[in-house]
Amino acid sequence: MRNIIKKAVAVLAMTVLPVGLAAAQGIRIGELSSYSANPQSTDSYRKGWQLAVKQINAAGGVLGKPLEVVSRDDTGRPDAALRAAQELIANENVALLTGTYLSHVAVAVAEFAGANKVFFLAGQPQTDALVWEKGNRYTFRLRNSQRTQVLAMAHEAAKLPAKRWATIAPNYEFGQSAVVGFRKELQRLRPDVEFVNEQWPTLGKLEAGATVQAMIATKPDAVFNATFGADLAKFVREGNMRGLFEGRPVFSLLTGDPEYLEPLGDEAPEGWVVTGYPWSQIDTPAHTAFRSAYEKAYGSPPKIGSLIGYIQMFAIRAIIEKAGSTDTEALIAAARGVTFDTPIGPATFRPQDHQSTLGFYIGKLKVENGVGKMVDWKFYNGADFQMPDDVVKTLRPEAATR
Amino acid sequence: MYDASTLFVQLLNGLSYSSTLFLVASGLALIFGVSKIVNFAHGSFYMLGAYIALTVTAMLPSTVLGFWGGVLISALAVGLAGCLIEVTILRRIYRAPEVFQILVTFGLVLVFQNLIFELWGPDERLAPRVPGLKGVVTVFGERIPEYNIALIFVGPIFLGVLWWLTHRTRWGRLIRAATQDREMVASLGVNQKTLFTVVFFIGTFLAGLAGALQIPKETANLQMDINIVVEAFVIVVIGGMGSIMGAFLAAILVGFVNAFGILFFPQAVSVLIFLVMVLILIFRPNGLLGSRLIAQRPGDLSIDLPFRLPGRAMQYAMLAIVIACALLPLFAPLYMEVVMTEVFILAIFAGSLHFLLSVGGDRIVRPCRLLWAGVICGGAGSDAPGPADGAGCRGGDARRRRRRPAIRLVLHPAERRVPGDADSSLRADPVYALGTAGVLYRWRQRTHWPDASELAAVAHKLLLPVPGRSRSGYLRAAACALFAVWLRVPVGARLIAAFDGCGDQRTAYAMGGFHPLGCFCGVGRCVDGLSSRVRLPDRFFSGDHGRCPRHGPGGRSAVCQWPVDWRPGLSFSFG
Repeated sequence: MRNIIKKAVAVLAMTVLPVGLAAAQGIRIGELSSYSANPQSTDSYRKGWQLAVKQINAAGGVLGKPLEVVSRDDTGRPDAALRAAQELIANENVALLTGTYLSHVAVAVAEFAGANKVFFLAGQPQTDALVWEKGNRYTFRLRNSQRTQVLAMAHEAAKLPAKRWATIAPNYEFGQSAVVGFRKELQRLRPDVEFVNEQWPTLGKLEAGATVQAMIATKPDAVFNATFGADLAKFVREGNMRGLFEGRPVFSLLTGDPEYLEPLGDEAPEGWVVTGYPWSQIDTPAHTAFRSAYEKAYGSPPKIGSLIGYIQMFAIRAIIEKAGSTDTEALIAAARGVTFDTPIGPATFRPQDHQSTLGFYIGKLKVENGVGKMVDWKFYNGADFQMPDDVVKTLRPEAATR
Repeated sequence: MYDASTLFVQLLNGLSYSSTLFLVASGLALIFGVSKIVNFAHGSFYMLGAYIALTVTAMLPSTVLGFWGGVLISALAVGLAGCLIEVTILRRIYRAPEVFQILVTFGLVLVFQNLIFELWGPDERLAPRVPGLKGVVTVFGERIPEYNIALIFVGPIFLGVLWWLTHRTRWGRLIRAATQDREMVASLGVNQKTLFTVVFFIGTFLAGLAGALQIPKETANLQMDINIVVEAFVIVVIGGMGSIMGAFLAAILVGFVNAFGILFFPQAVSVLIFLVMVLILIFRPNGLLGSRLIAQRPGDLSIDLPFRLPGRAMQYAMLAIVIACALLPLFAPLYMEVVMTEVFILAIFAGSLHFLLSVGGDRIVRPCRLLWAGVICGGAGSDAPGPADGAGCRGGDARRRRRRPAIRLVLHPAERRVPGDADSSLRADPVYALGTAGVLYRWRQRTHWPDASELAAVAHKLLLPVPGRSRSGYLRAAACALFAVWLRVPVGARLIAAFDGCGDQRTAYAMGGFHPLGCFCGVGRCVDGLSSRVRLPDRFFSGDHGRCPRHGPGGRSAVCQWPVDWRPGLSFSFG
């Protein structure tokens, strides 16, 4: 019994005491991401923002105060993310929220931000709903939306003579919207194109041999792929061996991101048209500085997550400096239209849908020295691939832009 | 539609896939058969096998011997790790209720995930192609990788080895005996400790082997454990819990369904397996080669009495807790409120689960346990009402079945096949629940139903206060939780009594579920309490409801006691 009382006192002390100790010296940022659920992608992201915070504070911080980031794991679940967000605001007195990785988690946090009137900058999630259907005036999004990438891909694909397309995509929001977006845009540009086979494996459970065989059996002219990670590796190996990619152009989302390209090693499929991040070849002074600082700090090259995490903190600095305070209304007013420098060129948060104009890369894969890399890549400025304003207006709730 | 060569090659693809599935599922079936542990961590051993094999084969020379030797070494290493787990952890929980076993093995899943993350890092890795099997075979003009062809033979080889082990050795006889009746084997003087450890070694060895053989086909990644274990459970369930030959047939079936599903219905491939599973179970409720289960634990089929009504002191204590909860916001820091609100929300969820359990009666308990495992791993959470409602309503005996709604018969045609036999339904229930949950889960993935965590998020929105602005959210949540508690005592008991007409056993289970203690004892214990038999005290019935012709005048008078504590079972191991 005594033990139980002791334990109870200890637990109570642990929950109650730290609250009083949290003193506000610097500017506190609440950060959350799916660290335990998706370590492959979020590990490099964390390194990215940590590097940025170090650099910002070394350069004098923001408004003369150091940036303090309080980081939480959302475990890939919306309810855990909400709890973490609540805790960050109630306990840690953070000025704003940022981060998240999975799209549905980001949407939940965005709704939380709207209900609680907290500023929220989503970093990596790409779902279109975040800025359109489910957008609100407290939520901004950094990475380019999925639609922009798919539209750009479809424009490239329309230049090919291929008429019979096969698609493969994981069976959830990301894959479905990718395939539907691609098909609609391609058929709008090329009414003679038909889609002869659509494969929808469960995420992480692709049975590659049978799937590749089924795609070959329908004799497509070209292939559109939206699988990534473990599914992609299986798909590529079986596809290579069974000859699916011989004489067939392949358009593929995300495959050029180092996270997904590296595991393929020398089997990276040559000639695929992919979106990605050619980190080793972007030689602008800003990007070279970022790359060498990152390599120096962690001994490994940056990935796309690193880049987004890094930019995220600099975007926050730009917003707070323009606002002159951490008041939420001031932050919103400042964020609309703020321009900030990134390693891949300046970007702006569009006032009409709170989407940044961060650019992206599309190129072809080639194997060099045993690793895949993007060649003939082109930078697409995000500002040029946004929905027209009148369309945005119909998609986004009116209150979100007020 | 497709030419013969495509169909034939797809057949080979299906066989190759089923080999991997069989290796994992046979280990799972073996372990379940003997120890009755639903080993959620089985996928983790598979993952461990893949990662160890990556390291070992990279260290060994890249030759035929190097690869296959490396695979064998990895599988042995995984088997040893399995032994270690069995001796240190699982041995202590053989007598615990299933919920706790599932919790423990799920804890192991997390431990393994973190361990592998620490040791190998987050990056996905793909092994090089297998030496000696790098090329492709051309069959009727279609190309198949040689390695896939080789894999086709692995499954039957190990089926042969396992068959020989279990049918031609003394040790195998013991295993088969233990699968049928553990207690009897123990009373005949067989050292069960060794038996269980060896079985766990073989089971995990097979899982490790399957993982190791997978590395030339897919990257080793941190999600492969959960991805395989669901499939493995499906196969074990289709094949008949604990049957190895059944697991083999089921693996082949799943392999074919998968391969031809991809060819003919690529849109539905994720649901197809579960549909096939439900179809098979309608005609073979115990799986393809399954047979009746008998009780393995004291709580399984025996009669014990888990709950009694709170005494005066307990009632005062509960009142004090209620008042303390209401006053808490006055002096606790804000975040404490957030945490307590969370606790209340969980209590409401637990209350709703109990509500379902109660109305469903005893047979609903087992599926709910498995579903609860689903809830724990963030899977089929909100599906619990669905499958539990439809799948768990098997009436144990003919007398009780007359009140069963017709729709349940539709959902449960197999029920007709096991009249009056409580034992035989033990096995089929989790099976149905898993099947239904699986279908619903897949369907939800397609249609984006909200899942449990999203529902919780909605509850948050409704209940949580805007920080620093009002305390009404806290009070709302507290009121709801109190309502859930209240619902379970007077209203619940009467409701259930009315439902049933008279105080038969189902009412009594309901009592367990609606008991206010459930809120404080935790769901696990309450669920466990439900699975045992208890009679309801007289005072919960009035008038004719209280008279039960079956039990006679004294039949419904209750002998109740505190929850039977299973923990003594932890202190000494079984056998």
